[in-house]
Amino acid sequence: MTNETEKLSPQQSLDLIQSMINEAKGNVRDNSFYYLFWGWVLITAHLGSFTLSKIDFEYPFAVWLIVIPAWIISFAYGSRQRKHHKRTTTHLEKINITLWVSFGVLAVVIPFFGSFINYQINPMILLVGSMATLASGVILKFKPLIIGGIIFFVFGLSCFFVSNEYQSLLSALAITLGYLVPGYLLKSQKR
Amino acid sequence: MFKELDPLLHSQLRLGIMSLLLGLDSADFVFLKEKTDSTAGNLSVQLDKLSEAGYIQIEKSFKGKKPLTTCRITKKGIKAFEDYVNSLKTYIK
Repeated sequence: MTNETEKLSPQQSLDLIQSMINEAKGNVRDNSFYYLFWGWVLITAHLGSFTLSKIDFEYPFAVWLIVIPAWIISFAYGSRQRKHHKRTTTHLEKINITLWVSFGVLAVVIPFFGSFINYQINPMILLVGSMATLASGVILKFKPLIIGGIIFFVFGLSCFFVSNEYQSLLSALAITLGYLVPGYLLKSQKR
Repeated sequence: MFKELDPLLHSQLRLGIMSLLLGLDSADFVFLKEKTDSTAGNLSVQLDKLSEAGYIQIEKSFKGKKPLTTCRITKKGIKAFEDYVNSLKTYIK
């Protein structure tokens, strides 16, 4: 851009504003990593806990310990991204991050209160997740993720009707359809 | 009736910066420099002017060993921008 001494006509001013707004738009970054990474981690945990309970392992829930290293990897990836690529933050990106961090906190906290809700942990987490997934889909303007949110909602409600064991299977299926599939579609779209 | 245009905003580079920041939560110096296609020296001067007027907030930190300047628009800046666009409308009609 040229120096400030140059006078602008009103039309030039408007054109400039328009072009700059366009530059700032469409800066939502490819965050398919999180969908794919967490999708696989959670599917592994659900299938693992189903298998362990089938072979009468005493603590089938132990498999959920894998989310601890997963959180660490996720945070490390996030801070590395911020260091190397982050140059702007849009308000929507902030909302999206807040949404998933809140979901993460709930997903960790809810299991500790399992006894209060008759151990209906899987449906509760799927239902909370359906909100986050749906909102993310709207934020990214990405239809498969919106559909994913609806899938979570349907599977979440269905979970109330089956035993804890089969809830794991249903959850794994819900995550595959509602999270992993949109994640791969998002990734392929960005390339 | 033509309304007077805010001289602080009625400059190509400063208006460009403000338009960019309006749509973003924050943006760093390198991003602004690329998008406005300006020189570092000129951009730096104009950012200081906007900051002195309270239209933007400048935060200086470090990214590793490199200095990092992050800018964001203030409420006062948004108000000024709105007034500017409203004044602009009186010219277009």
